[in-house]
This record gives sequence, C-alpha cells and structure tokens, in this order.
Amino acid sequence: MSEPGGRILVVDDTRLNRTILARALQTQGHEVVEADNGRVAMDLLEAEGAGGIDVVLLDLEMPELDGYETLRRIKAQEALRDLPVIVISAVEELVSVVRCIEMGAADYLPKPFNAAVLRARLSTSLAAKRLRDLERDYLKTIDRQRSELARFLSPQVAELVSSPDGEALLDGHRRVITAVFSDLRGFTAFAETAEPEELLDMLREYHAEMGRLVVEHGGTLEHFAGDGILVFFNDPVLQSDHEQRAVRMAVAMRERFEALQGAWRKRGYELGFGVGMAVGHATLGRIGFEGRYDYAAIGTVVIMASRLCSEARGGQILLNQRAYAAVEEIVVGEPVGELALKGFSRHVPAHNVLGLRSDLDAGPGDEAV
Amino acid sequence: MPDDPIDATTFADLLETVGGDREFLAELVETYRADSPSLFAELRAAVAADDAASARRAAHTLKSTSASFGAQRLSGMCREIEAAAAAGNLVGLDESVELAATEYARVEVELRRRASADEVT
Repeated sequence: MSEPGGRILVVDDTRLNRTILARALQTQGHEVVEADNGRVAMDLLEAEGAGGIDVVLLDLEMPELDGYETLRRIKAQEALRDLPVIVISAVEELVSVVRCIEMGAADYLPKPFNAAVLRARLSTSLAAKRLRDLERDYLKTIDRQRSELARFLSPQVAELVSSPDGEALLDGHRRVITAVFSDLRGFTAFAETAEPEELLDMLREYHAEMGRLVVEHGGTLEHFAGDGILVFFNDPVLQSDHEQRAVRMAVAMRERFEALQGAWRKRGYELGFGVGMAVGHATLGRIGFEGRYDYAAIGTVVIMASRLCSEARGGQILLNQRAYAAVEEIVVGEPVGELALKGFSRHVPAHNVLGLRSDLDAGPGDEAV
Repeated sequence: MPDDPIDATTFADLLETVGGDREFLAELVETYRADSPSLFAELRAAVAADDAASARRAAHTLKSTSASFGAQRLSGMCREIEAAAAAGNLVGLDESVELAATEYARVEVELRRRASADEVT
C-alpha cells in the first residue's frame, strides 16, 4: 500500500457502478475521474493527453459509444496506446473479456466488485503504466539528444553516437574511404576586404547550399573551415558506391557554385571553386579531448584530397589514380599530368573531371539546372 | 437464511469495497432504490412496445446493479430477460418482468433492513 495512487478514469453508464468504483478507488488512495459513456471518455482522454490518466476502468455495455469501440479508439491513438485499460465485466460475460484482451485491454475487473481484486488489478496496471511512462521519457530524452546532436554533427555521426555499435566505431577503425576536399579560390583576398557581415552572409549561403548537397549524396561532413569543406564517404555507414557518390556530389557542388557565383559576381566578388578527391585507407574515430571530441578521418587519403584541391584551378575537380579508376565509367575526364604535391615524395598522376557522362550525353544542355 | 434475497458474502464484500463506510453503503442502497423503479418502468414499456434494444439495456443495468448488492436471484432473472431481449425474443417476457419486479420488492425490503442494521449479517 506504499505505492502512490494513480489517476483513474471510470467509464460506466450506470451511476451506481460508478459511485461504488469511485469510492472504492478513493479508499485505496486513487484520484477518480468519471465518464458515463465512451464518447465522454474519449473527449476527456484527448483533452488530458497521455499524461493525465494512468488507468482506464471501462464498462462494455454503454449507450453512445460502447466499451469495445472506446477500447478500439484508445488503442488506435499513438498517444493513448500504452494507457492500460481494465475492462469491467460480469462473470458470465467472460467471452467479451477475451475479445477485449485481444483488442489490447490490460486486464479485467469482475463484477460485483471486490476490494482485494480491485487493488491487485490496479496495482499491476499502474506499475506497467509507470514503467511505460519512464520508458517514454527515456526515449524522448534520447530523441532530443539525437536531434540536438544532429544540429552539430553530421547526421550519420549523430546516429552513431546513440547506436549500439557506435561505441566500437567511435573507438577507431581503419577503412577505405573517399575523401573530398573543396575550397574557394580568391576567398582569402575577398575575406580581407569584405565587411564581416557580408562575409558571414556569403559563407552561410555557401555552407547551406553545399551542406544540402552533402546530405543529399550521403556524405559525412567532417568539417567546414571557412571556405574549406571536407567530406568523406563509406564511413560510418558503408557505401558500396562511395567513389561514385563522391564524384556526383563534387560535380553537383561545382554546378551549384556556378549559380551562386553568378549572383556574387554582381556584388563584385570574383571567386573560383576547386575540388580534390582521393580514395584510400584512413583511420576513423573519435579524436580530441574530454569535453570536445570530433569524429575525424586521419590518413594520407585526406591529405591527398586536400593537396589535390590546392592544385585545382577554379572549376577543376582533381582525382587521384584510385579515385579516377573507380568512377571512370560514369565521368568524362582528362589527365592533368603528374603533380608534385607537398608531402608526397612521388609525383601523383591526376585527372580532372569535366562532367558526368549522363549529363554530357544528354546533349548541349549546359544551361540545364 | 436459505431464502434470503441478498447474498451475505457479496453484501459484506461491497461494504469492504467502499472502505467499510456504512453510511455510504446506505446511500448506495438509496441510489439503487431511487433508480430501479424507473428501470422497471422502462423495461415494461419496452416489452409492451416490442422495443428489444431498450428492453435489453434496462435489463442489463438492473442485472448489474442488483448483482452489486448480492441480489443474485433478481440479477439472474434480469440476465435471462436481457438474453431473451438480445435474441429479439420478447414473447412472454412481460410475465418474466413481473416476476422480477416481485423479487425486487423483496430485495428492496431486505436491503433497507441491512443498510440500517448495525452489523452485516
């Protein structure tokens, strides 16, 4: 009897039954709300929401809206589905009870009422309700944390943090990835002369547009650094077509940049967009320190993408050999020779991507998009 | 008492269910006595008008409330009326209703006696 009482909705069209039940429940420490038919009960439940009532005691034979239909409506509503419903039934109506249990009723209360049975049935249902409420609260918290995280992290990484095998992946693993690094030519000069507000507005617009393309192609955004954007593919979610996704994204970004540049030019900015893309092994996982961790890719593949990007002239998308080999069949490219990249002892053969075959085959539709 | 219209155990259970409050129990008996005559009137009218649905509802309520007080014979009679009405069979039901009304008269007397008694017997 030390358990706290609940808020119980008694639904019965017979005044006498309601009165007896209400008194019995109050005697056992519960608060009682009464309804004399199913319609009144539904109005009340919908008005109070999921938190208002802990258990429903439901009579079956009622005018307006009977117990079966009321039960069906409660179970059909997402917000009310978990609310325990105890069906009130005379012993000779046990067939109806079976039907109700099949419809989702938690239990039944035999008529005439017996104090001990009432207490036992209610405490079971109340305990179940409280567990479900706790569970619901936890799930809400996790959901809130995840959506809050998703505002700061890329969606894949936010998902990872709250997934069961996330911990292992965060601890670090090696994998082949496609790294795409892009930045703007002429940005530093622009940043030095532009007003801070102008600069921020322009960057926000640029990040919003590019960010959308990253998400669309399923890339994991590692970071924005000013005008620089590092995106990788095939991690944490495996993608069998990660190289192709990456190059499609790069081409889409270039097209998008050209549209943005059209507007920026009118405001006097003269910027160029370059991309470096490489395929290779990286170590991925959590780096940083307690209080500020990042999910990062570390390896020559990332440096390669960044160096290729530095080499790219405005409008170029430069790929290393392995990346180009993986996407050759869907792009039209041209070799740009062997590049001497800082930090790489050997010269690196690279290709520039002129466009996607599917776009170029479509004819001289350069004006499209 | 073999011919007692009220089952003592059920009546005692009811008192316990309402927390042993005899005054409240007396109020319940009053509610029952106030509501039942109109239910019988409804039942008679429904049977006379061949309105099976209304007859069934009135019999159902009487069955249920009578059972709460331990009026088992009366509750059983009402259950039979309810079942007949549910099956749409109102033929000869007026006689059953009058038998139930006679039993109700006995129940009512006995309930009043018990409600005013100091002990549940």
